[in-house]
Amino acid sequence: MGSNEQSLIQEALRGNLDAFNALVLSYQDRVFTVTYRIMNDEASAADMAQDSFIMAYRRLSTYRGGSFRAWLLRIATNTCYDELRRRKRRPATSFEEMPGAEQDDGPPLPDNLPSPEQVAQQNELNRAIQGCIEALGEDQRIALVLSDIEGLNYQEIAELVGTKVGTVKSRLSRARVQVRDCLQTFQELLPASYRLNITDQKQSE
Amino acid sequence: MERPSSNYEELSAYLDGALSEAERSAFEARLNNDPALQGELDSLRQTVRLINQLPLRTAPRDFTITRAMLRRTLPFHLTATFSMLSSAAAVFLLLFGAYFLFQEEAPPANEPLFTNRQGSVITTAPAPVAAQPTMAAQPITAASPTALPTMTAAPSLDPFADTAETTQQEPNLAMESAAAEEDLDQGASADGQDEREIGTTTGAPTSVVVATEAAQFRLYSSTPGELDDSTMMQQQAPVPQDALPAQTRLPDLRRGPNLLGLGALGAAGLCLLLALLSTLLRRRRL
Repeated sequence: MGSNEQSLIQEALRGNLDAFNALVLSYQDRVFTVTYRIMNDEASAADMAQDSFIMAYRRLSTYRGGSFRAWLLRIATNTCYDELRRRKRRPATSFEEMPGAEQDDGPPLPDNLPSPEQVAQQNELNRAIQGCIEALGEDQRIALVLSDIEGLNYQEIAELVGTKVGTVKSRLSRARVQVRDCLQTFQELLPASYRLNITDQKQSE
Repeated sequence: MERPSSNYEELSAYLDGALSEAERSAFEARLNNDPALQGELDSLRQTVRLINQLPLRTAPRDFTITRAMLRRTLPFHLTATFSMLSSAAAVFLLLFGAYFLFQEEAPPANEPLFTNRQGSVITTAPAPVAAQPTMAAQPITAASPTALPTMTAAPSLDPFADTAETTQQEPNLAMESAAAEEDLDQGASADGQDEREIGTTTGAPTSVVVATEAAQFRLYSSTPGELDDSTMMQQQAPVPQDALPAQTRLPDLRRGPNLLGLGALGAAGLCLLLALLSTLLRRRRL
């Protein structure tokens, strides 16, 4: 953690709202990405992200050092957890109709990168992946997002969601297998090498 | 071939570098001898890469917070105001219920009440004992056990007798009352003895009460012996209804004071429960 971030945290602890908002601006994209991957719609994700930052300011005194990003993500994850449990729903929205899906198209590309057709295909694939993530159960989805999108390790994920390392391993492995099997329905979108491996697997079975 | 989940856990952990040195060596040895296992590993690795390359999403707006956002926007039933109002209502209902529940009940109108500390005998007896002549007792039937005869005190009663003497004389008074009531014998049925007993039982209290009240009056009096018959007659005269304490002039309300008190206490408990729930839910929400 940079010294600048540490000083902002200290200022925020003294009640300096502007210092806390500087932290918000630094982390809002990351927090929104996590809430979006979990909630699967932009409006809900924005609400969860806003609630997460409000909660983070109120509970700033509970921050005990270490990764501020992990501490923020913990709050964001628990906020999403609470909302999902409150709704008690399993998202079944078609990824093609998912609001905000166009953001998975990625940023504008410079001239020396792949052709428009490749870019379009990549965007289509991203939406397909998001759709497969959306089809996971909430526990598996959260484990997958925190591990494979946010890059947290097993111990960090276990502490964040309040479970054991073994449980995290189990949820993550099942989530990855389910996403892999789900992506097989989008063969035409998958990279050639990916399709090749999946096809070889089926033939060997 | 569907692999057991434990193999997938091992594959996933190997991808994440979460296996111990010994576990990793053993796993790699198996990989070298199992092409299918190698294929599984490759497919999972590519899946993780595909997920990794999902782009970072841009926040649709700034999520900076304001002081207004920090103010609690809770529904009314979760606010501190609601908790306080519920608690205040509970206290009020508790006092209200306790007042009615523990208030002394007024005795029925035809029975003497009590002697207050000023020495006034508060009674609604229709006739003073000492002034009235002996009245004929009404016959008592078994079918109307509440038809108590209007008993008179035994003429031999001494209203100025000591309390101890009065107490000792209670059985004697009962016997004397029974002996003086010739009409009880006239009204005797096949269960005459029972009636007589009933008469005896019902006759004695009036006499005893009057005597006791007199004794109490003596006790409260500062100068023993200053009482005379005229004073006793005044004390024993019926008290007009208007002169009765307020509590005896609320017959309707006091018909079920306990029920009212219990109901108020129950409502107080409910208000307390609401206040507690509101507080717990508010803290959990925040």
